[in-house]
Amino acid sequence: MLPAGEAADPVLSAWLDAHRKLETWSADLVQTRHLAALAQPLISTGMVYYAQPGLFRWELGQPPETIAIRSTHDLLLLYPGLHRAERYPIDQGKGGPLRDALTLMEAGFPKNEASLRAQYNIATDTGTNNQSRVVLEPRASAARRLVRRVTLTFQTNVFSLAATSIEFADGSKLDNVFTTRLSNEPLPPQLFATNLPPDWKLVEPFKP
Amino acid sequence: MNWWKRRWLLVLLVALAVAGVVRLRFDVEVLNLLPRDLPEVEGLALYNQRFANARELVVSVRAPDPVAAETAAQAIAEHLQQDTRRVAHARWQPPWREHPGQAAAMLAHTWINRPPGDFRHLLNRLDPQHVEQELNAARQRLTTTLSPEELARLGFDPLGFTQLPGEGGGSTQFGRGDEMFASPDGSFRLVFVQATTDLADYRECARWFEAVRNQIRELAEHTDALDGVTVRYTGRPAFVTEISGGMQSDMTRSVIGTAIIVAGLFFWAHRRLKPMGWLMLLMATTIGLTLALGGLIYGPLNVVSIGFAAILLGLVVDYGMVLYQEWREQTADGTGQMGSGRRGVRWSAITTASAFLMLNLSGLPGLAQLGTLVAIGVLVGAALMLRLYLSPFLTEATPTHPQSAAAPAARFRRFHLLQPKAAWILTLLLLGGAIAALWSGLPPLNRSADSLRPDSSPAYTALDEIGEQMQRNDPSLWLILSARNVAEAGELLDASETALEAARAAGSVERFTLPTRIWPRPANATANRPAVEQLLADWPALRARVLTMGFTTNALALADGVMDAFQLGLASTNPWPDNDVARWSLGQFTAQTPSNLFVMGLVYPSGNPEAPLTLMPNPSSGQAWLVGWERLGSALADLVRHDLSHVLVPTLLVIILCLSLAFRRATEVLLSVAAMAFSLMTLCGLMQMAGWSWNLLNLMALPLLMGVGVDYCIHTLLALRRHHGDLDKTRRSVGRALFLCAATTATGFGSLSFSNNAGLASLGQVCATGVGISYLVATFLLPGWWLSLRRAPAQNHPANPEPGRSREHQPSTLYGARCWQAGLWVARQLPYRLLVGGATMGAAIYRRVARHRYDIVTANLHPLCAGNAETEATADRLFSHFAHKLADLWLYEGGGSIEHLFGELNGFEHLLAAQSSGRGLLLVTPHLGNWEFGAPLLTRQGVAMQVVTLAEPDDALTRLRKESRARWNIETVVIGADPFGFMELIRRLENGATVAMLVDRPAAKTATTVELFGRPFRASSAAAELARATGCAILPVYVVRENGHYTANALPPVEYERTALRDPVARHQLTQKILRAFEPALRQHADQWYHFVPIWPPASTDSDPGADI
Repeated sequence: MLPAGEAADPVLSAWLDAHRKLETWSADLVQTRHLAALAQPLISTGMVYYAQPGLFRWELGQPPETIAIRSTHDLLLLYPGLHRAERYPIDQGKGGPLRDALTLMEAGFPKNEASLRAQYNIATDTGTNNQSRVVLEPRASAARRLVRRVTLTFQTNVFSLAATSIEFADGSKLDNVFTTRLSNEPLPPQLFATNLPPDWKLVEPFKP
Repeated sequence: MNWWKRRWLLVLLVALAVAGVVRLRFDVEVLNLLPRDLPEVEGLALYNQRFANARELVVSVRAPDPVAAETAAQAIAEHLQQDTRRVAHARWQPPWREHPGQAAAMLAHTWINRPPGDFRHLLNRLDPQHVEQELNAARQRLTTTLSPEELARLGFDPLGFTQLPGEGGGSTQFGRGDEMFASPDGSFRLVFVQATTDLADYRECARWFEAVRNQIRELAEHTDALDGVTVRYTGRPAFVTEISGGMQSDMTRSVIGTAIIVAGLFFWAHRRLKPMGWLMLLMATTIGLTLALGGLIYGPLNVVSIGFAAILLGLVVDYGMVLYQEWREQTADGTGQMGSGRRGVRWSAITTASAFLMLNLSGLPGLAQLGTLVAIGVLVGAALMLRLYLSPFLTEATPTHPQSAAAPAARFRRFHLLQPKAAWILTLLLLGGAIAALWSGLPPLNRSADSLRPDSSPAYTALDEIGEQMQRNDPSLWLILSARNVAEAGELLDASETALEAARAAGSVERFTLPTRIWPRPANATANRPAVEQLLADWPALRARVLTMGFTTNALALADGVMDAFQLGLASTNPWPDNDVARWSLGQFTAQTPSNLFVMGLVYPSGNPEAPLTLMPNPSSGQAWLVGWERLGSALADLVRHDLSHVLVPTLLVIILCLSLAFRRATEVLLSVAAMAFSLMTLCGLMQMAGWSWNLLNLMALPLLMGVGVDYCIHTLLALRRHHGDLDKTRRSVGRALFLCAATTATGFGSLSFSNNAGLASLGQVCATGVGISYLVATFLLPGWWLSLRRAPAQNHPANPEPGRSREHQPSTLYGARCWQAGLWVARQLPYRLLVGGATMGAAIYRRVARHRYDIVTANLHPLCAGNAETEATADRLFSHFAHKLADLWLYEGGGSIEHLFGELNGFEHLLAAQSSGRGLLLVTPHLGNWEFGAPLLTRQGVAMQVVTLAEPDDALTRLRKESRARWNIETVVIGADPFGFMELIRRLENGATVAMLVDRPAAKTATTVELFGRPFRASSAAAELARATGCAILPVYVVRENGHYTANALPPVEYERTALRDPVARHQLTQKILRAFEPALRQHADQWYHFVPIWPPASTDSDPGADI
């Protein structure tokens, strides 16, 4: 494992360069949660979609039980089973638990190298099977209260994200393995649309 | 007062001063400036006392990003937490994050106080049939939730104890509890630092606050946690430190600044260091004594009252300047008397103190205290100046440079008063400017309580930033409930909630927050007790079931805590849980005293927070206040209206009364009122142009400015009258005094402009500007107005002075035919004793009202008396004797019997001897005793009398008095009215007649300067002239009141050589001889030597005795 200091790291640079060129990205997801509260891990499947500039859609469960859509200004959490949605304006909620939620979703999709270096101490590891790893450790002690470490695994040949692993401070761990990865394939815009069916109930907890 | 009495008095004063200093405190509570009987103020004070933690410092942290803010806040809290001697705790996040276990107790408390139906629902969820379903649902959420918050909660609470019925539906609820500690974007955070002690004293508060600040500075120096982070402080410790520091610096700055300027002005005017230094020392003593007396009376002095010091300096220095200036002038002209100046200072102090005491009519306790302090200070200052200021200089026989008294006047010669035309042009220009400035309206009235806040305050800046960053700027109101116990408070909360729900339905309230859900409900707790016991009994089995379903003991931590708390709750009588988290949570909305329980809620009105909002359904027990700083505005507006009518109107009435007494002419009263109105209008115009506004405190400048303005008008108009409209003389006489007074007063007020208290600073600005404008209007415009409106003086009117003589040289306007007739009528109607009593009372009133006459009398008596005290005592007796004389004279001239009033007749043999010589007899007398009674007394002895008089102030009076004498067969010869009167007199004397005449107040044409009591004195040369013409015998006589009767005294005749009288020098010597003969009697009966016009020529017009021969 080599620390990626301020000097450019070839692996990191190549990955960030590939990421900059990424317009859209989607993959099937297998998520494994190792929680301190449970003796056995929890496994769920789903889909993840990404589009520039920083739009996400996470679907967990088959059929989806929780959908998170990060649009430009809002984070929308949808609970299809309950026909219920919660809207959080991102501009007003960059701190605290909402920031933690965004950390979980945005890990692996950095905006740029500067913001990545501002948030994390970075180390890279050239592994086997054409896979490399970038290990991110939050610089701020407050951030380390939630997340101890984020590990990103990607294919060295195409620099496509293959897996993420988030280790929490309480010992819990969340692993995402991405399969059927598609880069720069057109994605329907409605995937990131935040308008709701009329029979859904919208809650805006940040509104006074 | 003897030496012992003075010593004991001094000891008493020192003891009082020490007691005052011991009691003295600085009160920095802004709400103490407002009346406590206002419900809005009472409620806010209650909030400050009970809910704003007195020991809590709020440290705000602003960083470029949320992570940096969180890191900095945590670092500060952890660093401060190490200082266990000073810091009880420092919180940077909700306490349940630090002690999640303790949150279980609060949760158990909430459950146990829920309605029994809710608790049954919980039991139902946890029964063996349903618990499996509950746990599966939790597991499923743990599998798919994307919220770390929900992950943490469900992992910690799979049984759903945190899911209270009716509580929010959000499954994630990001930021629950964090809104108190962090802004929504996370880049701004708060750290709450609690002191280990109460920080009761402001010095202790300042020390503690400084220590905490140093700790944070130290942290910033030694770590990078605070790099790029802005740290600010607010909360009571910061406010107290800041306001008390501000008060001290205000006091120091305004006192030192004013003292320097006053000293500079004094030196500029007089060029003397010793009197200047002594003046400064006495002013410092005045401030110190006033502070001590203030402490003695009030104990704590509030932030506004402290402004008294600067005002006081501006006012008290005037007394010193007036006394010193007068002393120099009197010493220079050799008279050495200080009567009028001392009386002026005394009355000025009383008037000023009265005006400031009127501030006690204000509804603002702070302003009332300021008024009392200034009043005390003015009286103390006047007493010190009168008793002590001139003492060091009185030993100096004459000024070092006799001409120096006039020298400072030269510095004022470049100032010129404006002629009427120029004054009117300037008036119109200013009027036009003021109208233009005020076209859009008067300066606005700021109804908020901002004027009570410090002007530049880092603590308020921090508070405002918190409001902005934490999005707490929406105008919320505090609902404060007071009850005797928990159950009563619960009823009040329920009633409030019902009322607020109704208000929300009606649209007047947008939302509200009340601690209704977590409030202890003793009835619910009792009803839930069996269910709790059942749950506790079932818990071991339930716990095992959770573990068998794949959850670990980590998932049971909260549930175990809740069960422990249930167990404790069953055994406890305390309605509240007792741990750190619970205490912190409860402290946010409850406060307890030995007798009361206070509960707080937040109410967000839909519209204007100042609008009337009746929420409480008149609870049968307990009290409720709906308060907020915004809501205070309308209450304060009512207070301002009250103050304007209750302070301004009485002040205006007093002023009009003073003006009427001073002028007795409607024109001059109206001119003064117009000058005041013009000054206020100009002030408003300037305020409008400068963008100033009226506020709660500076509105109180109005009565003060009216008082000052009227003072300047009186001085100016009286000077104009005295100098018959001569602008140059007016400028010389009052220009300098008014300039120095205005400059020092404006300086005193102006120094308040630098006060850290916004209201006090605006009061200082408005007062200083207003004083300046009042001075300019009274000095430069008013004389022009007066000259334009002055009527041409009527000839021969007694109120109009003779050419070359000022009004004070003329008799009182009361000495006229109408008043005299009224006196005669009263004398005929009233019993003698009542007549005398009424006359005595009238004289006492006149002595106080017509102060200038009293001053003239004291000045006249000064050479006959030893010292000021004897002079004033003699003057007081003189007025009393004169009342007696007047009553007796009216009785005599009204035709009443005066036989009982006559006493002994001394020296009658001289009269008989003179008569037997066969020559005419000239009886000469001064205005001593009741000289008129000499004629009837001699007539009664068979002597035919003729009385020589000057014309009375009006013809009717001359006629009236002539007729009165005629009733006693006394003939009156009026000199002056009849050009042949003197010839007739000579003829009669040649025929051996007895003629009486006065010699000590001559007409200008017959006056010659002799020496009396070692001073030049204008006496009548008529006796010497008559002696030369007729060779008559000259017999000095006088009638004085002794032991209740009038004693007539004839002195030995004044001998002379008739032929020598051809020489004017011999005639002058004869006049001198006549006057010298009266000196012993005048000295003995000085209190009956009735002169109400000046009798000693002024130094500037002195001439040597005999020089005018």
